[in-house]
Amino acid sequence: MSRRQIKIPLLFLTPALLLLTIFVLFPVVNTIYISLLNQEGEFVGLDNYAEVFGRKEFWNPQNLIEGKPPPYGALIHNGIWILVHLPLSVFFGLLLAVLLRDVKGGAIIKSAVFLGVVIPMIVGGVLLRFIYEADAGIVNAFLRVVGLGHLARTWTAFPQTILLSLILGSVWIWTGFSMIVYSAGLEGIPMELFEVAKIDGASRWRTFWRITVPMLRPATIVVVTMTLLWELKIFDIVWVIQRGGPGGASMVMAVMMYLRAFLYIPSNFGTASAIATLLTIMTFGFAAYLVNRMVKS
Amino acid sequence: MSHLLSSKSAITTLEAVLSILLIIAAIFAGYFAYLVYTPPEPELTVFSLWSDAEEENFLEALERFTNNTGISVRHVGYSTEELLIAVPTQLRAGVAIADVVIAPWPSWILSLAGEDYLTSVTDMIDTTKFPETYLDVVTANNEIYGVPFKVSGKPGFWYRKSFFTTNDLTVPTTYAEFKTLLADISQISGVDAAIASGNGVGWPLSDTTEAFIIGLGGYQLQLDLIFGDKQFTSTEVKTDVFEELASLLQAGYFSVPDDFDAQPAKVWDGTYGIYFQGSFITAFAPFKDNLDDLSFFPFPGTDGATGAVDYAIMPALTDHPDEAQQLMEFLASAEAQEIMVGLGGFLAAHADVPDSAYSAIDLSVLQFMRTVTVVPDLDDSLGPPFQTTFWDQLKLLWVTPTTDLDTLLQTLQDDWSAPPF
Amino acid sequence: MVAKLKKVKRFTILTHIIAWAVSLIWIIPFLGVVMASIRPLPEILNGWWNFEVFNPTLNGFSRAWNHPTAPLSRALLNSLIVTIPSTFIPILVAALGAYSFARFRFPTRDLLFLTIVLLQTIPQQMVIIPIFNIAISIGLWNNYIGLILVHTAFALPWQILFLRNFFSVLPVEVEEAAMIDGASYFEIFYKIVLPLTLPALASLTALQFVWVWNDFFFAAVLISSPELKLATQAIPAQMGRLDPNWTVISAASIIVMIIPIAIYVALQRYYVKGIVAGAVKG
Repeated sequence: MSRRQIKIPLLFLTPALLLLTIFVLFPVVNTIYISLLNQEGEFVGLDNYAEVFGRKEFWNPQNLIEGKPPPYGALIHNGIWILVHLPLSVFFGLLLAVLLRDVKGGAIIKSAVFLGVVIPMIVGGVLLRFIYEADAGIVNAFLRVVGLGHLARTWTAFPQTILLSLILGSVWIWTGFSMIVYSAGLEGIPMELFEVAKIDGASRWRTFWRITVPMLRPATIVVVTMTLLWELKIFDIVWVIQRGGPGGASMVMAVMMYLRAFLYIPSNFGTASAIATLLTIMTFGFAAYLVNRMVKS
Repeated sequence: MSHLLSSKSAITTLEAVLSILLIIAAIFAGYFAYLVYTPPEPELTVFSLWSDAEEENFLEALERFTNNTGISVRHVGYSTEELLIAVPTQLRAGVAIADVVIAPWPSWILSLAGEDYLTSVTDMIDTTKFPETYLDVVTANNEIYGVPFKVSGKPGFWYRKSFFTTNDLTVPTTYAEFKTLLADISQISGVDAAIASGNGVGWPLSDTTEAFIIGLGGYQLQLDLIFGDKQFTSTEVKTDVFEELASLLQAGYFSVPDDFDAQPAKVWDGTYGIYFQGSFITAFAPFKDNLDDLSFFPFPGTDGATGAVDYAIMPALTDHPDEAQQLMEFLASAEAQEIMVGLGGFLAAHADVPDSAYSAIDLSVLQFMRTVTVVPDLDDSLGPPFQTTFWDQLKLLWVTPTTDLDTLLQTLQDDWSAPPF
Repeated sequence: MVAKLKKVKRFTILTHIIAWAVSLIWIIPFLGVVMASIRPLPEILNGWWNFEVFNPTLNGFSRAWNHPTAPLSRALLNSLIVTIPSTFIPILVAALGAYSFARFRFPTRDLLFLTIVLLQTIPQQMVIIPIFNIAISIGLWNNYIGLILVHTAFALPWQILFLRNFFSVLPVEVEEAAMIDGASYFEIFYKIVLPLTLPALASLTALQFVWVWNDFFFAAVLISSPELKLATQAIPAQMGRLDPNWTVISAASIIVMIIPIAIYVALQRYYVKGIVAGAVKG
């Protein structure tokens, strides 16, 4: 029923186009524009970007290179978040999807694991803060049980440990997502493939690597894309725990942008927009690249 | 196929319209319920950093205002960062949700004034009743923008008198005696650390650090650092002050940072020996119920002390300028400040509040403050970004006393910018 | 043969053990929060897993509900007032738009669609400053209508993509027959297409409700009055500047997260279908 029309589709599309233009499209362009202005509104080109990279709060590779503990700057913190969180949640998601496929009560377990994705991230941050508390936190209780009690401390209070604690905690929160996507992906693999493999005498291991994983490629791309985006946009968890502290050791780009825009008087909309633009270039870049690979396959 | 248009299985146009109307009705019903559920709003709204004990006391003063004028006032307590963000955002948006804000940061107040967000208070107060230094730091272009309301002195280290007598401790008069005292306290059984460290956002640590700057470097050093006449990276600051502080931290004399208002209880039960805090701490339990057993000693040999002032400011865009002005004038009056003094933990900025209104311990703080040179608080004067960096770096230093001082001091210096006054 | 069966059985038992162990690990933090919400603070500081002293209390919940600075009694209502319209309005707008992409050909159609799809990757931070300025200039700052419009607009890219994919596999014969019978496009849309789309709409409802309810960033920038704050804003407000009172903050967390969890449980099938639609369809 592909009619060539203009009036009707235009009518149907008008509310959507209107809202999208005012609240999404125009703001995106406007933010890029603001990032090129200084606080007096004069055009200064890429000055804001240079200033942002000059701030240790954003870019501090020195500590990292010298093997010192954080802070390394918001950009590097997001990068570490990706490097640690992505493989872990993809791996655990796949593991859980495979494990729970044939287990009795697997559906209930999956729902429970998925809860982390359903709750507000502000609450997620509160939960993380709670489990890492010195006396009241379950992590330290565990350490004491296995004889590592001397390590017990409030992990989110120290600059050396807060970043990694948050990242690992966020794996706990987000794994449910990759698990659910992989579960659906597994269900989509035709049974015949497995039967043929069994007849051919292939081991479980071999079946997994030669059939399951390749067939899960589209699912993997979705999981990786969405997880990457989530890691780049982290805000609530960091905000509710230490607002980027202590000493900037948990600062991430989204939080830094928010502080620049709304804490400073007069507000640094220029630098905030620069950070937001850099963030978007990264999210857009990753998403475009991965979707491209998916389309190709 | 046309039967599909009129069949019972498809939704008729009527049903579709009705369900949409129903949804809209539900939304409106909810909204009206919300409006009805909302109690009538008080005429004025005040924001401040106060909660619990401090808030209770302030509400009493507000009650007197309502009795005098018939204007009802609602108070909303904020955390430091929330207030620092909420107020400028509102004013930037052109909406003054708060009619009066009480805040202790002169530089912040002046930046708001610089953006024309505030109403000048020059005509609302009697400038002869307040110390010039308090008014100068919130004056721009000959207009005053803040009403000095509450003064907090940071007199020194608080301690429980009976704890000292039981353990044969004496109040130190020199820095060497101070270090001996710390060593002695650490030996006492049941003591986790000699000095309690406050937390909150980081300001208790900065107060303690400033005591060392003034105590070991003199009040002039504090002023020089504020105005940029000396650098943080100078040898004087590094060797005389920070290396000393770091060595005490490394010796384990300071406790792990914790709630600033949870520490008094720990000083009282002997977990910690002494606690550097501002004068307002006498309003907090268990100090406030045991004022006879409470005392303080100043940083040995110090010639100065920081006085912080909580100012009341009035956004220019308030919907109730006349009523807000009345509240401002009330807060500027001796009457309001005397009420607060009577409730404890409050030093008045107004000169007409008599000494007799003070409790013994608060009076001793007041008298001490008169014997030294009162200087502004370092980070309150400079404001963000220095303030946040200062708090953050000190938190870092407290948990990692071996942190490299050169880097730390350089970070502080990097974020220094001239104070607005 | 028997040996192989035994091997299979052992493997299955092993898998079951690992599966249940892993799920226990995942549940524990939630268990902790539930425990903490009903126990007094000293018991929590001793470890909520210790049961020698056990004096359950509902004080945490009543304090969280009636908190002086940010009572959840009001905050929950506020979140509902924002979430419900923000869930239903975009569905309508997106459905109309998706339908035109699926059923019509018009100039710039593919380019327009591609742009809308790409907009999905835009983070909230990228649009917030101009939205802040726009909201102020049209008087919708600190106003629920502004927030609802923003949430609506932000939902459109992924909802339009989702529904267009759904429409494109819907058989057109029914609609074509109706058109031959003289029905207008609007009638076809409302009477035939929408009813058939209900499962997809259920997915959108579930996903969008949870997303809006859980949002913090848009609310933090656009809503400032203490009495207007949403549930997610109440949590950091209740934590304040002191170390949290775990009893109260756990209770508050449970109150705030119980709603999206309930929606998820009620509409689980559709929620999961919604998430997965991207993966399977590719």
